[in-house]
Amino acid sequence: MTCGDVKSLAGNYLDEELPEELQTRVQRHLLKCPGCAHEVSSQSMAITALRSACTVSTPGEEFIQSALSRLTLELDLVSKLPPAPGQLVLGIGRE
Amino acid sequence: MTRHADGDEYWVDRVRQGDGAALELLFRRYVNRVFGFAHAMLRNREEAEEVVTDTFIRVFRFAADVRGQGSFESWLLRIARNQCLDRLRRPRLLTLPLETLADSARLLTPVDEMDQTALRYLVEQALDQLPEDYRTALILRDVQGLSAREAAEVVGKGETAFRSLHQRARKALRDALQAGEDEENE
Repeated sequence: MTCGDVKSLAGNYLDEELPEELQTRVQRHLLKCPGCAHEVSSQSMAITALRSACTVSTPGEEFIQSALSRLTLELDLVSKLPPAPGQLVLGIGRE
Repeated sequence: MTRHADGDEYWVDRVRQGDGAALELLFRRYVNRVFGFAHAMLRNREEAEEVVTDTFIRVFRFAADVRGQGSFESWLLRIARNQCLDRLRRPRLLTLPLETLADSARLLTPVDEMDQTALRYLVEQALDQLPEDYRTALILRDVQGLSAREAAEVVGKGETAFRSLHQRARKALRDALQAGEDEENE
């Protein structure tokens, strides 16, 4: 395996998308080639920094409810989700 | 749509017929994905919420066009991306973290040893230097965890072309982070 091979496979290697045998061959090359090892590890650290800095945000339930109300109005929709099984429905005439 | 998860196509048809329950089901299924993407692109919660609402309105107003656009999720994210790009082109107020960067020289030390605010600031600075398609590729693939095929659908590229773009984006991010570190060391 050459440095050029490793360079072209680095992304797949970091994503662990290579077949096991190829993954191992890249790993062996990295152990004996400081240049490639630096290239791959610096990319790996950049990805780790990105993932750590950009934690996935989620919207609050308040926003979800208000967005659904707006969407229902704007799209002229009518029905609501039926109650989940076992959910109590309170209404006039119920005992 | 050529593919759909758990009957998305069925529920899209139901929304088209005026079924609010179907809308709620689809909205709850994908709101986190669309919001997370918009928030990562815009870094502003209120704007991300507006993008989510506008995206779903557009999708269902033009639901007839959905067929042939790939998965419903890809279609949603593609519209959300366009919405984000429109907003990024407008003049925006700069929003910088209040804390100054005290120890960015430790950029490439283990992440858990670094102050999270400083790290976020450094990464945001680095991302700002990248072309938009690089940022989108990194957010879709490395932050949101889409597969290369899914992310390729969102940006309207073939999988091979997307993989190449994503690889260039990772290297550019690495270089931008290292440049930031070098500046701090000078």
